[in-house]
Amino acid sequence: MEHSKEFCKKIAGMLSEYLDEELPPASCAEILEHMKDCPPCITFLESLRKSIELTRMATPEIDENPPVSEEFQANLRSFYESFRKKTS
Amino acid sequence: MNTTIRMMSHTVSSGQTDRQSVEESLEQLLADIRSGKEGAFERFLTLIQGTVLSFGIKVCGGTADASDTMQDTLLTAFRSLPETDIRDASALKVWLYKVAKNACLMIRRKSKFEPKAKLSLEELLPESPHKMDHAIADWSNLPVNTVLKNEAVKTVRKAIRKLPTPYRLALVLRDMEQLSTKETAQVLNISEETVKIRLHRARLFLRKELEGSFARK
Repeated sequence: MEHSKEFCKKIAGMLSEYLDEELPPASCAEILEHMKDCPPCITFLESLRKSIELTRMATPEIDENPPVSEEFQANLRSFYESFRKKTS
Repeated sequence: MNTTIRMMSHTVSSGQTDRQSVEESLEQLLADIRSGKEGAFERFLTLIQGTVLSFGIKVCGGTADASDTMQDTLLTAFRSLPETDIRDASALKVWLYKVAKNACLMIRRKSKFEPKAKLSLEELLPESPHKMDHAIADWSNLPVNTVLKNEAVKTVRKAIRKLPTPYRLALVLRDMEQLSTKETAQVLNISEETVKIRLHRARLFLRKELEGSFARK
């Protein structure tokens, strides 16, 4: 199996789509074959996977109540009326 | 109908179930509104306020900006909703994020802190994965629920703020809001291929920032 610098970079360029299961089967097979015998690329893949996992954990918690303007509330009321007509 | 809308305390978790829950909740709420179920409209507004506020915080970075964004977004929504097909929950979700994204872009254009650089793939990939320092790369094997994990999440939040807006939007919509590639493309009005390119570069940027952060420890 090829392990040239350029080939490893080509593999690295496909890893997001691989993790998202959006790659064609032939490309997936190419990655799996390469990973059998390339520990640095496995480490790189795992570090990318971990980054995505941490991003999902980084969702901010919102626990305050931001003020709402009178204009906002007035628009909300008229929105409600038009919404009722549209959905009824 | 009591139209006094309270801004709710909103805590957003993450994961695949959220994408499903926003869409499923919208579908259920639209059905409840159509059947005249009591309190359905308030719950509908609470859901879209929470979704837009959470998105605004992730993209704009600060709660004050995000709150402005949320109000701008909903005001715009009221004006444009009559032309939108709100009977389809998925279309409503895409429309909602589109409006929120436009409001965020207006705010970010005014910010002097907006990163302007494009992300170069060459700079984000190691010269070769073989050149990676394995001691550094081992951060990817960190167990969850550790102090280090919390530090890593902080690093990610900081790194997201450093991302140029087009990359940040792709990352937030795909990895935090859990939209599909197709939905993200619709929200951003770009091709699915461009979504994939921006998402990959954004993820590589975060990976590199994390690696750098752990290398300093």
